[in-house]
Amino acid sequence: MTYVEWLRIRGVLKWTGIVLIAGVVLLLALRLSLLTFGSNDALLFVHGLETNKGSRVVHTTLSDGTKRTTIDNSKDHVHVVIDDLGYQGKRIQIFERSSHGMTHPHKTISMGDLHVETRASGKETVTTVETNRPESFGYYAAIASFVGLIVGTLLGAPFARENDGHLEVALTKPVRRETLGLATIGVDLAGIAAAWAMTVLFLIVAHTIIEAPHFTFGPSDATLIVLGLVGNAAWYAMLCAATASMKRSYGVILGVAWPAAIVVTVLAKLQLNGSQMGQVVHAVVTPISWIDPFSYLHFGPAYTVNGQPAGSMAVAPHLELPMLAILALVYGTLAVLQWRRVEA
Amino acid sequence: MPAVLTVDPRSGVPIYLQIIEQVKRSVALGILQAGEQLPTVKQLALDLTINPNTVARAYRDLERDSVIETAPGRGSFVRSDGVGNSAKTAAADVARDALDVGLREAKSVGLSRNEVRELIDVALDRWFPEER
Amino acid sequence: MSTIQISNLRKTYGSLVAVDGFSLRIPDGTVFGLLGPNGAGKTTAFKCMLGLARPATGEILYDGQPLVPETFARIAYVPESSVLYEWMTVAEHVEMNRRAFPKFEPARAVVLLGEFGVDARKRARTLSKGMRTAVMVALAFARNAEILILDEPTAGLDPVNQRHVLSLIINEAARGNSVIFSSHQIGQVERAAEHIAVMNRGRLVLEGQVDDLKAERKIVEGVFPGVTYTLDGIAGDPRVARIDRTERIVRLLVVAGAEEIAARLSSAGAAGIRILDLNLEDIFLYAVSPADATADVVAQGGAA
Repeated sequence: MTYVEWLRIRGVLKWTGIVLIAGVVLLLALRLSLLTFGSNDALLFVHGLETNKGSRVVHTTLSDGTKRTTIDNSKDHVHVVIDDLGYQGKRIQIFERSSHGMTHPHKTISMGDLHVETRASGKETVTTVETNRPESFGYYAAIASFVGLIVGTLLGAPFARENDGHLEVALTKPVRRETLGLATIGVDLAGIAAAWAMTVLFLIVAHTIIEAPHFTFGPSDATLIVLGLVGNAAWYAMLCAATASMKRSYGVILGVAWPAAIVVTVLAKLQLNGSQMGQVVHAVVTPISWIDPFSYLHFGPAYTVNGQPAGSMAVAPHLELPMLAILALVYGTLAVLQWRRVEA
Repeated sequence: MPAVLTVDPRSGVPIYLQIIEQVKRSVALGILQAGEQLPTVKQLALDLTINPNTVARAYRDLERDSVIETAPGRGSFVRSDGVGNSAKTAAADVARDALDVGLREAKSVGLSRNEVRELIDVALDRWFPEER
Repeated sequence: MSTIQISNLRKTYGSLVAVDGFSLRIPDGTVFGLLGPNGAGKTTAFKCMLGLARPATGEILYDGQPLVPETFARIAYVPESSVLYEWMTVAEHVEMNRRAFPKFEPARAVVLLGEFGVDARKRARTLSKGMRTAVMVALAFARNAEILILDEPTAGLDPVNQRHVLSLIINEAARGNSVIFSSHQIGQVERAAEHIAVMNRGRLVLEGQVDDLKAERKIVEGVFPGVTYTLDGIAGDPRVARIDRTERIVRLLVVAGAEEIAARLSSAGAAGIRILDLNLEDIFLYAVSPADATADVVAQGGAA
């Protein structure tokens, strides 16, 4: 049965690879077209300002080769400086007259290699956008984990697939059912890890095509990698357990899993304490979100707002990894136990 | 030999009896010569598409009736000692079985012993005219 | 080598009793035919034998031992419905078997597949029902198992391939292995099987050696001079399983001692005594649905 599962995984990885390569090809095409038509035009608002009648546009080249574009619009009190470092990225500074009292005098958003900082100084608000700040590797790990969730869903009902008319083959082998079940899960997890690795590779290649890659790798990135893989395992194991006793309708479960998980995740994060109904919903949904691996998905330190990781998590950060590991083990065990009792 | 030996599994007569009867008949008619080797149990089973144990049972009974003899490791052969004897025995067996069927029929339709005797005499004149 | 002992097997699916108090001993190294109408419980019995279904009561022992995973190294099973993976090719199924079963011979599988006319490169979903059966049979026989359990191994096959399967079964028997198979083709069972068991409505209704059953079970027929007659001493004989009368004609189904009972019938005044042979189909039909057994049997009536 693990041979059959390997064949299945091969098929899924083949399609994953095709989709990723198609993505790379698309990015290549996009990049080449940007080179042809001038990268500044990608920033639509810049384009709008440039063509505005009151704007004065000056192009200079700095001593280190940076192409600087300055846009002055004294009528709207806007001054924009765009530094194009070519392959190394861009830096855009927007100086505006401060509008009615800002609630956050200093705000930064950091997502991957994109960094946006808004600072108020006196009557002016400066927004700085940098497109190629060194990014933590964890950002890619988080995206790869998302792909891992998808692949985990595609592989997610191995026992149900056997129950659907193949038990006479699977259960008459000289192997214990538990061994067979665990081996199947192991093989599927290897497949998910392979898809994860393929995605990371794709992302690195994709980034290299657009701009020079600068990665940082720290302990939080390592944590994110482990969290992502364990989270994938927990999600896959949950689907296994949910479908282990089914014969035909496992597709329904797999299809419903995502919307259900997303709803639980969203509801758990919303502040619903206002109404009584809201409190009830919150009380019910919160424990469910603890056992829903999907609600643990986040970008961690790779995506911060004001220095804090964005996207609240289901549980306290130091509990995430143990919880996911426990969920993976419990769900996996439930799946194998169910399959032990299935009848042909 | 397989060409001579056929069995009808759908008959009510057990297959092993059919084989025994046909082997005896072949010996009686000289189709099977003294000392001639019979097919192995496995070969005959495959040729006729029947169970090997059925063939084995038939061979055992034929050996018990002294029609064939089996030498371990060498195969089964028609008995050559006094093959005239075994042929005669075989022939007698075949004829006796046929007579039994005929006489039972005759009795069952209500003929008396004397009536049957008369019919047999008439039949003998027809079948064995030279020996009158 | 394995004797299989089934004791008091009972299996229900909800309110449906599929197998009811079924006991059977399957001797070692024999070809055993399991007969029965559709829904008689043959497939369920096989599944219980293989641990694919859990019986409510009863046990199944292989050489006195319960079934454990290691036993499957000696067993090959061809189920009734196709269990092939639709999206895999036949060649991939061969590889799967090679990895799963220690004594599997891929070369023999390839030869058998060729004999059945199957193209190993084809995907299972493109195969007809008969071809799927052929694939499962080929894979099972290439496993060099000591016990083969075959549920309708000739379903959907053309006559040439059906005969081929029979030859394979006979070959296994000659090698000393056990073959247990079910079939609706009584002629096949008649040829290949040494022992048979007949199931009906989840119960065992008949069992024995084919040759013995044929030798002993007969119809004894007699014609009485008038429509009023007595069958004292015959009707009560335990060897008389059934009595059918049509006016003056009496037919007795006897399970043994036909000659003796024929003589008694004659003494009772019947003439035209005949002893009729029964083939396996007759025996089977009498066992499962007596009313349909012979074309000209009329419902019982008259005094005994």
